[in-house]
Amino acid sequence: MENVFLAVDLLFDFNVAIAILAGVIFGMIMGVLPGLGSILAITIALPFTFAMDPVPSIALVLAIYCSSVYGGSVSAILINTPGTPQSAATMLDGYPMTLRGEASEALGWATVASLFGGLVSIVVLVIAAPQLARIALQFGPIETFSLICMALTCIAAVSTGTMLKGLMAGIIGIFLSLIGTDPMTGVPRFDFGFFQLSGGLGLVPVLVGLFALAEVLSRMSSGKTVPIQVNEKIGLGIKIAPLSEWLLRKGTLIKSSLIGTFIGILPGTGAATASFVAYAEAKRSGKFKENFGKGEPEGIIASESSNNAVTGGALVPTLALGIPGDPSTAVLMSVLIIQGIQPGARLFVDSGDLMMAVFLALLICNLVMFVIGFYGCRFATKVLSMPEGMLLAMVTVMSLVGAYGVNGRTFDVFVALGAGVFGLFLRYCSVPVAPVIIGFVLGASLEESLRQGLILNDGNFLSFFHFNNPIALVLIIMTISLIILAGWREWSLTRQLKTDAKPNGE
Amino acid sequence: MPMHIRNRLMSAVMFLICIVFFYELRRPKYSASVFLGQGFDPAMFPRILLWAWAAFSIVIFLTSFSQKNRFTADQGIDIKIAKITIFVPLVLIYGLLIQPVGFIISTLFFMILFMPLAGYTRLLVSIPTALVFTVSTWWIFTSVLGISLP
Repeated sequence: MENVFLAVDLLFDFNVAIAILAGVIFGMIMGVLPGLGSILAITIALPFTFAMDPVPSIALVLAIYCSSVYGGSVSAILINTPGTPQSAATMLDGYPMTLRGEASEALGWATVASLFGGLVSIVVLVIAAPQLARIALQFGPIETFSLICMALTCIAAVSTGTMLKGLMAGIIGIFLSLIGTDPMTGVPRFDFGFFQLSGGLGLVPVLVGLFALAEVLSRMSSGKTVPIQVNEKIGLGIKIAPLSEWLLRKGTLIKSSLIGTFIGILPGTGAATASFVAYAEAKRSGKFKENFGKGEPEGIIASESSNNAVTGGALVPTLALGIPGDPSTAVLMSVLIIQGIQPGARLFVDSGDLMMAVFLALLICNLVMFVIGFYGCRFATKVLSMPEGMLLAMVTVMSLVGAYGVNGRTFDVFVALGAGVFGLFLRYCSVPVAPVIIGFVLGASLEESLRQGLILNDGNFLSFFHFNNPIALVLIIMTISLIILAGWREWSLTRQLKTDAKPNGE
Repeated sequence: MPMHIRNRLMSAVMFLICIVFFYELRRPKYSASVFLGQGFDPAMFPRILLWAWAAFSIVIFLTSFSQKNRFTADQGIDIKIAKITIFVPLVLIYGLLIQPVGFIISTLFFMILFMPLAGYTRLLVSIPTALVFTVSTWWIFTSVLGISLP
């Protein structure tokens, strides 16, 4: 209880209020713009967190995270283009409602469902994260190594269709994290004579380059600058349906929120998967299943409550174990690291008040998102008419300021640019970029735990799989199972595509 | 360029990068400090990763020749090299000029040059936008957030 009072004290600050408000507005705008999404939104906001205290900076990032997922639904409903992949399922019933002249009602269903999903996931986060952290406190280096190996299997999950390339990208990410002085021997590794590299590659320049600059480069080079047409009449406001209508669909609302939360906890799945799983489940078991795809609010409820529930779910492994649940939380984790906070089990013991502040901040973010969404989402659509050339220029400047601002070094700007060109090359070759970041964030801990484990066991690697370490053994078995599952999924996808291609004579 | 050619190009580039890093690992500093790492030299883990990296490159290269491998969800983006060759040096020059010229002037010129390249040619709008954005960004960072920009 003491932590709650301390957390309230931490949150009762003007800077926190401004951070949440600004984060929600910015996140919603970034979510509305098709193709930008949560990761880019958080990446662009990174430089603002450098000079902030931990609580306002975390609040800012959480606000962006939640509201960008919600923002994607606005463009999905109004212009039939999901702002983020997470909102693709919302489009299926949201846009038909818009065509019927019920855009305000559709936005109302989406806004309330998003809030509900977010709140359910916070409850699960508050209950599950400390329990998980308590178990993780018993972890030694071998268990930590096994846990990180399991977390890395999410690379396979985010690389569906290109698994080999995804795994290679993960290895590249881990390798990049090793550049710099070896913490055990003090030997500078792979610095190639550049003293700036002896401290390693900065997380922010690499993030900014791989996500933001690579996105700018790819949009610049593809030349897709077609302005989006927004019908002025459709974004006139939000109407919330009466309670009786909600009660008819309460089963889907609760079920989808739980699906989203659970999928969020699983490594590498993310909100896009959650929304489609929840939508499919609602289509199978919903009260109005026969109307799905024709503008049925239950479809919007399923998609929106589940994709927003992922935000809290994905924070469970991120905060409790220091293992990001998806690429967005990997970027979010970097904000904590920049603030000098190492996510993991010790966080709940050493900074219980801070963790409680995070939970409460997430709750406030969801409530503010609801209010801003209610009154402001019609204005957010105005951003859609912003010229892309202007937007890209602003994103580039913010990204480079972010890269420069960490240490005030021009060298970091070049690292960001190099990472941007590398990111573009990876996209050109259809190599997923998210595994590079996941590997980069987890790489140093993976090496440290491996080497510590080997020293403790006289260099015997097989002892990692011994019955003396039951938790590690279970985690390794789970890792192998997840890899087999991902391999099977990849194989069936390839087979499916092959079957689909055959009728065309290929 | 078809995807299987891109795959070959990418795996060849990756393999070359691996060779460069393998060569770097041959330097004496990596093996001279074994005793400091209690029996494990600082090259141990990178070496494992490099082997895996090289192995994946080879497998991707070989599978690019397989006909059945063409049926995948593999779809890269298309890029126009001409635009990239203008954009990348522009960012490079911008990065070089931030320190000596200062944030405001370098950013202003960068944005004014960038917007037409990105397809927005209305100078009457882009110049005031660049000016307002640059000055407000500088003000937010230096005065509100306390982060010094040159």
